[in-house]
Amino acid sequence: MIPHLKPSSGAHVGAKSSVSQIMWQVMLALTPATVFGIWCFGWPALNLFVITVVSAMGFEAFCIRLAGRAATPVIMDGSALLTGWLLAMTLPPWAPWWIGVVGSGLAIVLGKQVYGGLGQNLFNPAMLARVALLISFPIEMTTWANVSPLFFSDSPGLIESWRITFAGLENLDATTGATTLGYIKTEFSQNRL
Amino acid sequence: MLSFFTRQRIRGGVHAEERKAETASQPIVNNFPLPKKLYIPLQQHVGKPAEPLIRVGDRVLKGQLLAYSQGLISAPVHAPSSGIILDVNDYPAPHPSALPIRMIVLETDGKDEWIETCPVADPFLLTPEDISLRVGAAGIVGLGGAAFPTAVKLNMGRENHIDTLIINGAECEPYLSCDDRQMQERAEQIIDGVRLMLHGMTNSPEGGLAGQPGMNTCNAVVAIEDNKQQAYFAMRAAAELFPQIKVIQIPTRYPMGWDRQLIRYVTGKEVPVGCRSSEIGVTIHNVGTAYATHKAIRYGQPLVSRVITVSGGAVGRPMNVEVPLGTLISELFNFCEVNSEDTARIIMGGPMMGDSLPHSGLPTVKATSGILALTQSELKDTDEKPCIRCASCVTVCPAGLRPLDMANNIRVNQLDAAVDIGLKDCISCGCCSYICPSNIPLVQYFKYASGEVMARQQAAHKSEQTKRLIDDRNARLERIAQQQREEELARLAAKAERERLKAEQEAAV
Ligand code: SF4
Ligand code: SF4
Repeated sequence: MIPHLKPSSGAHVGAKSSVSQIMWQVMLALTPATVFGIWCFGWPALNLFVITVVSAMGFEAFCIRLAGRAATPVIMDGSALLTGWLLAMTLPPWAPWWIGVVGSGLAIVLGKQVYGGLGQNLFNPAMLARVALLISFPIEMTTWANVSPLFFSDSPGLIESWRITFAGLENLDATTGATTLGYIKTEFSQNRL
Repeated sequence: MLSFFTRQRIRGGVHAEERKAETASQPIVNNFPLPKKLYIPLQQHVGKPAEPLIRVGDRVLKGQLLAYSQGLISAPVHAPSSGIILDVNDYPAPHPSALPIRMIVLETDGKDEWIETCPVADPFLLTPEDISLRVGAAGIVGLGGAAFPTAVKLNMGRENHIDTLIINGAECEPYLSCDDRQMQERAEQIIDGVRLMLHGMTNSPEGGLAGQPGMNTCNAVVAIEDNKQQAYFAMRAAAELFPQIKVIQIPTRYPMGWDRQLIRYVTGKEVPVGCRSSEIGVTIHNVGTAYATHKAIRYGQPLVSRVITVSGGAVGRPMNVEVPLGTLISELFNFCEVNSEDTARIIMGGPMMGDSLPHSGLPTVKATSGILALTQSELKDTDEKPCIRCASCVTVCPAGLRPLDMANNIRVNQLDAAVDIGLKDCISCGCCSYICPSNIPLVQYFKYASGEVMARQQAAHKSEQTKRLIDDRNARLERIAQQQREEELARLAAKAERERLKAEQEAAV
């Protein structure tokens, strides 16, 4: 409809910005909080982060290949990485590995690619995935580890962290519980307070 | 802190890479070789095209009237040099489409012989009306690129009680430096032109002396972007003696030279949507226009040449050069040693608002402030990606619009929805296209849609007119039929009456 092979109107020059540059800027902004989060919650948090990000890029590549396009340039724009990153930032840090993988799948496939990919999504893919996870797996999604900073005595070691991420929490080193706020809310809703 | 406050007065905009240094540091080149042929379009201004009054084969002198202005908003065209008229016919226009428009082709004789001009010793003794008549007769139009006839603006100024005349020396487009150079080299003449414009807008019955207390309440502000220090100092020195002219610096930001932005910054007033600036007592002229006014009034010389910036990566000798109007771009390119192989795009005007031209066989006109030959590496990428709704375009839009939403509407052909959210207020400044990380040619969308909307409105107007004509015709026919019926009835009644009388008479007999 609109001829733009050779644009006739301006601007003929442009700012040196691109989609991937914007994605990288967001990631740069996320870095301090991410590093601090991983330090607070130890190696399991790092494991989950890596799993979520890598599987997000994997799902993106898979969908793009399904559509018969070359995956590399699309992956390189950084949007899938960013989605995985954002999702990882919202997950309980000691959640099992499959939470990250399922979440990434929901985000990329249901949240983004079914609408037509980059820019066509109705909702933020990462947040859509988080909501879906919370509804589907309420226990895993509400089990929060207590803060045990890296290199402190109560922080799990590397091997221990793999067990936490891949085999789930058994012999809990740290405990969690419903907070008073949750208790009050429940009691309020039943008119007992 | 200061910038925090000043930013409040500037909406949107971008800080584009300037690339002016190469041309701004050298004097204006005055020895451009006279071209063999000049192609002079009859429409180089907003309004009706001029009507030619010469014939093929006539010999004309430089400055001679070739075509007179028609109607209220129009401007005449003069011979840029002496020579013989070769043709008056359709030739490709300096426009992206290069569709043919009417031009006068002049074969120069190399003598560059001026017609007799009538210099005015003291133009401040002329009446203001006389000033704008002379400006109009000299074919002066807005030389910043708008090409609106200057005399019409001066007349509006007299009628509308203008209190501020802003002289636009912002030159915010990248690459261009012709105004900058003119301000540096011709400051006194420009200031004289500004005084003449002020005089031309005085609305005292006898026309007072400019600057005389009580006579002239209009003041002038020359606004220059703060990246042109030398121009600023030159202009300030030239304006020192004239208290009614103030020279100020404004921040460097595109589009600072947009009239509404400039008015908001200089006067603090906002021009309401759909209003002209003259309605709030402000009018704007370009510095080049002030210079042309000076020449026209003091020396009686019409507008036959202008300073053009030739720049861009493919230009071997970038420069500001004074050329006769109607010079083909190809001749300019030869003179400035443009490498045609490196030229990825030819642009008339600046890189933000200018239009790309299909080839260089097109003439320069009064509104041509620059000709750019850009290389591929200078151009914005054209591989369009999906909009990621980053809203950068919203942030930079000086008109306060939502370019991404307008583009989405246009993409699905909902032009009315685009108009509803402000398509008509878009000034095609190019900020949104400039900043878009997905390389979406937003301005291209908006220009296309505006053209479409206009065409539809015209079509609707036409069909409405046709409908009205048909209705009128039906009403007329109906009226005639009614009349005929009434006449018929009257005739029948008269006949019956006659017969009754006749019967009565017969009965009486
Ligand atoms: S700048 Fe481009 S990508 Fe960003 S919101 Fe506007 S149109 Fe979309
Ligand atoms: S071109 Fe139109 S929509 Fe884009 S920034 Fe300029 S005024 Fe706004």
